[in-house]
Amino acid sequence: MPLVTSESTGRALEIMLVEDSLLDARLTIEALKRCGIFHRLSLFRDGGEAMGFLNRKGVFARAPRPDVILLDLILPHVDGVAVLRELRAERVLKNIPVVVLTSSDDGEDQKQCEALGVNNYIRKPFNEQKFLAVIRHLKELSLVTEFATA
Amino acid sequence: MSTTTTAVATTMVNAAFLQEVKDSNLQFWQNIHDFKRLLYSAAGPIEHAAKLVKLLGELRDSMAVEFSLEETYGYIDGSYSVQSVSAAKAGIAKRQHRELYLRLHEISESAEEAQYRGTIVDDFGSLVSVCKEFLDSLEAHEKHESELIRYELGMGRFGR
Repeated sequence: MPLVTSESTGRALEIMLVEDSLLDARLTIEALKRCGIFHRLSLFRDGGEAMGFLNRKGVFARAPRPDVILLDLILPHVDGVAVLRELRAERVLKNIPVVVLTSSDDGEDQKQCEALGVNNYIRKPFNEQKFLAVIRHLKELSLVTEFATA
Repeated sequence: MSTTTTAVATTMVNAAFLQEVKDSNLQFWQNIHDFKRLLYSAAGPIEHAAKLVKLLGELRDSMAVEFSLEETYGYIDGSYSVQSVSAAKAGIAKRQHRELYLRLHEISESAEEAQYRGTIVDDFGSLVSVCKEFLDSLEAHEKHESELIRYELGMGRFGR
């Protein structure tokens, strides 16, 4: 039951968090709760399961399409860069905004992610205000996209 | 002689992580404590109705976070050829998460509606009854998971 809701009205911003660390997941969830944006969060600890959700495989057949993906890079089974690569290769998924949240300080990782078109690359532990500013910006973008395609 | 094994979808528990999730969500346990105290206090609907509606919403949100973290880090879904007793118990615990969340969501929605319609004081007695039933189910679930953790850590046996 990977769902978390925050209290408000209107359509919830669908956020997908792919994070293998319990502590980091909790910190991100707590930060999002303080953000004040009505959201629904789907949580995954490995890249393979996350791809199953995105591709609506098996038990995820009726999964919502995320408006934003928060992606850790170091993950069990399928790592974050592989998820990102697969995501960008899929016609229906390639435009979903991705924010990388990582503890990696390897410049190559950042270059690789930027080449794959990530929207933001944030190093952990993150500055909460900056992180929430990114989420608010992406929320506005999702509203604009929704309005434009209505 | 040949043997054939069939892998079936199974849920396994990661006991140490499940316990860690439980130990680290103080908000959830505080919400349960406040909820229980209010349900069993002697004060009447005029003092408590609005507080109960608010607590139901808070408990629903903290329970959603708790169950979400437990399912992501405390349980492992996969295909295994051996079905153990604890796997069956783990499957039951995960199903209970869904049922409990849906039940609490339903109770919380109807309480909010009663508050909106102005009937919350009249409905308070029946609302407290369904909340107590829900609390009993939640506590039974937590006991079940606690047994599951102790069993997996080699510290206990399952109750009947």
